[in-house]
Amino acid sequence: MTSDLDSTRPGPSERRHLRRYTVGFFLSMAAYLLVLFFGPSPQDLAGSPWQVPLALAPVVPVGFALATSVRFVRGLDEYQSRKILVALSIGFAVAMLTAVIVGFLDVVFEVPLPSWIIFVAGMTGWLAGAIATARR
Amino acid sequence: MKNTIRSLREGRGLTQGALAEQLGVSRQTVNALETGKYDPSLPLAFKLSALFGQPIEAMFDPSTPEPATPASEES
Repeated sequence: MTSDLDSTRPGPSERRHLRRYTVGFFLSMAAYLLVLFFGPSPQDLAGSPWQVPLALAPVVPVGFALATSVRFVRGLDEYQSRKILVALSIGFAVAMLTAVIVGFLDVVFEVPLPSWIIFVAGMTGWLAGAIATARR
Repeated sequence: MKNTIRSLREGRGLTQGALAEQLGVSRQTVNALETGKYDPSLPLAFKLSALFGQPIEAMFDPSTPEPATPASEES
C-alpha cells in the first residue's frame, strides 16, 4: 500500500535547480539553431575577414549551453555528481576509442570518415553510461 | 549498508523530497540511501544524525559488509 510519504516528487530546491538548467539549456540550443539556420553562411563571405568569425558563431550559444551544464553539475549533490562523472567517463572513453578507430580507418579508406561520428559515439556512450549507472 | 533512514523519515511524516530538502540533497539520493545503494559521506551522515537526533552507528548497520574487491584489499 502506498501513502503520501511514498511520493517521488522532488523538493522545491531540486525542482528549481532542474528548471533553471532546462530553461538555460533550451534557450542556448534555440540560439544555436537560430545562428546555424538563419545566420549568414560563411561560404557567402569567402575571402572576407568575417568568414572565420561567422563560421565559429554557432560555438557561442554552445558555450552558453556548456556553462549552463557546468553550473548544473556543480549544483548536484555527492551521489548525483558521482553518477554523472561515471557516465561522462564512459562517454569520454567511447569518444576517444572511436577517434582512434576513425583515425586508423582514414588510412584505409580514400574518403575521410565524417568527424561527427566521434561526437555521436561520445554522446551515445554518455547516454548508455547514464542508463547503466541509474540501473545499478 | 543497511540503515533505518526510511523508518525514521516515515516516523516524522516526511516524504523523500521533504527529507532531501532538509539535507540539501536530491530525492534520488535519499532513495539511494534508503535502499542501501549508496553510503553517505561523513558530512551527510552527520547531517542525518543531527536531523533525526540519533548517533550514526544507531542509524547504519555495518554488519553486512560488501565483498572485498581487489582495490579495497590493496589499501
